[in-house]
Amino acid sequence: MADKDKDTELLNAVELDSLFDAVGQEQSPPSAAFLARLHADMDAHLPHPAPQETALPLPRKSWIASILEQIGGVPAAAGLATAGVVGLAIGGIDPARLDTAAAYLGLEVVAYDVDDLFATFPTLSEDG
Amino acid sequence: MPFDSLKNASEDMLLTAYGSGDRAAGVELTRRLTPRLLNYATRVLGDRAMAEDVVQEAMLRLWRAAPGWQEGAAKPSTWVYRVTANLCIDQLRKKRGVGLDDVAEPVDPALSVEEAMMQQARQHALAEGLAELPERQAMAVSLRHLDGLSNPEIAEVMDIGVEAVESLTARAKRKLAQILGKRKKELGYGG
Repeated sequence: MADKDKDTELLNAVELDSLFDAVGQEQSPPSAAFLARLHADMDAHLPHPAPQETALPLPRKSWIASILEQIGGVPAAAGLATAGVVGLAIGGIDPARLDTAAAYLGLEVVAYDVDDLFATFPTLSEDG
Repeated sequence: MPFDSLKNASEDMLLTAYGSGDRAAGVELTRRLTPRLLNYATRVLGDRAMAEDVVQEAMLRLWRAAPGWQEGAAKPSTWVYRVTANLCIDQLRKKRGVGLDDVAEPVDPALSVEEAMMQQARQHALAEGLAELPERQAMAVSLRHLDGLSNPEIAEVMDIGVEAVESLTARAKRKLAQILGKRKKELGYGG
């Protein structure tokens, strides 16, 4: 009898769950005014990514300009042209007349035999 | 983030997107999190206005954390639940004695007058029962049975293990069954 009385003092699992349901079902949604407050905070803390710099469209280059850019610009092109001209001149000059050409360009002619440009074997072996 | 993908995006993705400047992601996250947080805080504090202040502060901390948020580290909902729960505890300790009796719980308009009165009586009884429980038992059982969080989520909110959550919940339910058992007839239970 005492046990039965004791049992009736306890809610069983089903009864307890129904209590939870009674509270859980009725959930009042946030008011519009409250949501407005939340959105205001949200906006105040919204990160603003740094704006990307808008690149102006580059003017289209001519093919000559592209090549000049590749070799280092106008000064480099001028040097190349000069070298080309001098090379042609040297190549076209009769070796016998080289002294004259050198004098014209302000240069001293120094002639080397090919063998003079390379160390001989005995010299190499001395050096180890 | 495109509107279509907002609805299907995870909380993690939404918060990360907000942290990158996506306002729509923030609005969606607010829509998902706020109702449950507000109901939880209202239930714990027994004061709707105080609950709104607490939830507003909790969401503010979430927005501040967004730029440095690491996806996968924690769920935003459990993180903000934890903040809300801690803020509620702080408020309760400042203002002891505020009961859930002060809360006018909305009643289903489809119910008859008698049913509505019974439902309100049950709501109040449960609130009173929860108020008699130790703080952590009340929190665990509320999060589980009123907020619908899973045990792992509750573990994350309360910063304890899953086994501890199960233990707290089981003890809370036994205690509630005992406390409210004395009011069985009044609550319309038993033969």
